[in-house]
Amino acid sequence: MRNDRVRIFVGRHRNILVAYGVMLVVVILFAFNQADFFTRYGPQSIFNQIITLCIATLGQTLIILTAGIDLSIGNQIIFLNCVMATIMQPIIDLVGNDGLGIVLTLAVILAAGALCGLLNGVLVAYGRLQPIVVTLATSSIYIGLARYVRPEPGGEVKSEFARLMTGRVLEYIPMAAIVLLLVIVLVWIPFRNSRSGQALYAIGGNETAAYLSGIKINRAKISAYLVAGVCSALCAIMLTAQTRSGDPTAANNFTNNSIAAAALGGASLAGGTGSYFGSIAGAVILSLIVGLLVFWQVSSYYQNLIQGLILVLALSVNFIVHFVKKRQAAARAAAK
Amino acid sequence: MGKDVTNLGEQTVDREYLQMEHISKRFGGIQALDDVFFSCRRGEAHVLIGENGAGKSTIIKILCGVVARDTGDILIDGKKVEINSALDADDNHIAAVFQELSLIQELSVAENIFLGHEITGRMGRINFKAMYSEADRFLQEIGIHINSRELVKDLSLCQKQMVEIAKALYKKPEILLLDEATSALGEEEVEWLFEKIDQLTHQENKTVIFISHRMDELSRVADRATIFRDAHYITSFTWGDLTNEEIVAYISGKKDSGANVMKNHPSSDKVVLEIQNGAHGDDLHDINLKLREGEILGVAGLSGHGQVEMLHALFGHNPFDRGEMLVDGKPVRIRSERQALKNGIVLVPEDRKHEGLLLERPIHENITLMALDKLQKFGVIQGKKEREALAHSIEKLSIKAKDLNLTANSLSGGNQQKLVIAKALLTDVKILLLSDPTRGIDIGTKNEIYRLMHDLAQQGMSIIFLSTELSELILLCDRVVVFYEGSIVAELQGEDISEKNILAHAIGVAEDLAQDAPSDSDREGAQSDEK
Repeated sequence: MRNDRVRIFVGRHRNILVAYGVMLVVVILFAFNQADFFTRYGPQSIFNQIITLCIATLGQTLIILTAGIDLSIGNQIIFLNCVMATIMQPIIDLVGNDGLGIVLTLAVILAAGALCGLLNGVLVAYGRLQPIVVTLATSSIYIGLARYVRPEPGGEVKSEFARLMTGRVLEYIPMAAIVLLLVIVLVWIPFRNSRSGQALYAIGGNETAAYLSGIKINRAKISAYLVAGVCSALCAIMLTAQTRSGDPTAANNFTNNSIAAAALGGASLAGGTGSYFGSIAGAVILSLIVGLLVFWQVSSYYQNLIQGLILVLALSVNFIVHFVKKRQAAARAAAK
Repeated sequence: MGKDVTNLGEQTVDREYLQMEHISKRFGGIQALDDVFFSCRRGEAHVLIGENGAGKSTIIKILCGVVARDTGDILIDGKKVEINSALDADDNHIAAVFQELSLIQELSVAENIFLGHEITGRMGRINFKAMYSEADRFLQEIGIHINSRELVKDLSLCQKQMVEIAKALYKKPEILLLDEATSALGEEEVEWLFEKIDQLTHQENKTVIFISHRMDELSRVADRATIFRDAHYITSFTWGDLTNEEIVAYISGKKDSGANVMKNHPSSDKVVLEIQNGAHGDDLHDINLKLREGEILGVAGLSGHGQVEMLHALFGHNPFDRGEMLVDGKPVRIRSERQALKNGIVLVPEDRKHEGLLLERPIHENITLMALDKLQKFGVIQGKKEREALAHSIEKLSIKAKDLNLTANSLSGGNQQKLVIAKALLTDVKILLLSDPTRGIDIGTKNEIYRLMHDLAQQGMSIIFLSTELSELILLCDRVVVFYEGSIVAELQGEDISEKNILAHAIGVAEDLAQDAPSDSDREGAQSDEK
């Protein structure tokens, strides 16, 4: 019975184990290259590098679970980033209190993110349109809105806020780590463990079967897009704190990287498999590789190339594992 | 059952519990049900009989909310109910076990059983621990030995079907619908299901409505039956009131003598295929087999003993990893499906919907799919050749389709199976592997397929015929090999091909039986005696 459980667990999470193996290698390489890795600045720098992609990937994973895909995540984040950098100072002026103004700004951004997600979700669920088409269209809308809100890069972000979000708490704990933990504990886990969350796996696995089991398909799908929208907002908040401005022209790889990270973390783009656990590993790998390339002074022209190669390699690990297992099984049988 | 009778007056056993009146349903141009009546009582196992396309499945689908009826009323216990979705069916305590599995492959057994009805604790949090222990307890209780943490995709087809049944049973339905639920089960599991049905109906006073094409099964469990033909209600009767011949007559609408014995094909001594010591992983070992020209070789055994694996190995899908394979006396290495095709070996897979057809593509594309190499010139498909090939296939297999541009999905199960066979026959096939080709199709089409196999064998084609129905093996096969735990334990010929012999080898008790031959007291013996 115990053995059974271990076997089933490993079978179910093999992709994730591979992702964590790769992540370990990347982190170790990183540790060797970063001089202050073992000081209090080390974790801070690492978490600041990974936080935005981690959160974006968590949102993307929810949608991928339903066998959908969100091509608008990157532009959603840029849009919310522009809004945030633009409205923060006016709101602070309006309420006349820094703290309250910032909290109000965050609330507005979160609500706006939820709305963006809701729009995607409603179009997909009730419009019966394919997610890839819907999010391609809304992606243009979001970047258009971003340019409307902020024709030029800029805006004002309170430096206290920026320092708080990118700094450390109690001397050692990076704020970004706390944010990531909060996102997992307050957003992902409760949602995953709700009926709607469970329904995502069912829908992605086999939508007809899910329907036959009495699952409310539309509600579950919309909730996935909505929560993903909230994740985009959280990502935008961290991004704004890091860049201290809103930039509609910023090159952003969030869409591509979040999809790649989810796939690296064991999510299947056919739907039905994936987890926060794996996706975070995927996001960490992709973020830190960029850092490594900087350490190694690889020209930024080649970053994409190398990132892509590593992605292909990591994804083929599963294939290799499968192949080796097959050979072993054959050898075992022959030995009998 | 006695309870109801003593309940006086209007509450007698005969009171109809479920009534469906004036039910009609059209799918596009096809009338699936035409002003149909159906009713059944509490504590009754009610079977729906009819050819594929007669309307049985549609009745079931309307009852469980998958298909919306066009007209008509549904009454439960005399009260009108609305069933327009799977949720409505739940509310009315109707649960269904589907022919096409409604399980989510990537989820565990427990997650599937509880799908949409998860055990939740505070703030809607799913309590997975409770779900697993409850699922394990329930599976144990109903006698299914599967770990509820297992992912459904890792289960065998038979186990999946069991989980599907468990999922429906867990809802404690008042009305249980079984649409071809036994077609994927082995003999043992069918036995188990029948006990369950008996318990549900006769002890717990629930209603079970089911569809099956296996007559021998029906007589074991059915209390009453309703026959449909061409979307119409024909008659209802208490099981036993009609003879098999009468039932067949009602089903087909004409007096049909049924199938005659079709063996003894003029097989030459030429061996077209030989396997020596074939093995694959832990699934197959010591496979020794000779197939002669123009012969139908049956493959029997309980499900999961290696029969399907052997067919897959022959077709290069999961090739043998040891042993020799000879085609026409020459050693060949078959490591892929393409190599198998080159050697004239074609498999008609058992899962026609997923492995056999492009459901969303037109009929004609499905038929020519494997033969495109033959029909093309410079990479362009030759319209004339294609049309000829199609016309030939359609006629040979009498596929009933209004328009070849309709999708494969629009055909009935029997015609879909014919499509898969037609597709295989368009290739340069010399050795045809059939994996349970009559699974879940109606008696009429079954007979057509038997006739076709017989004809093909007479024309010199060699056929390996895997079947889960002993009667068709006995009907058609010149020889039958029986599988047990991954190897061939018996090769039966001529008079020896009998239900009793096959079963005895399939469950590994052949020696026991041979020793005390006179006492036919055990279960399998009794079964074959019934005939």
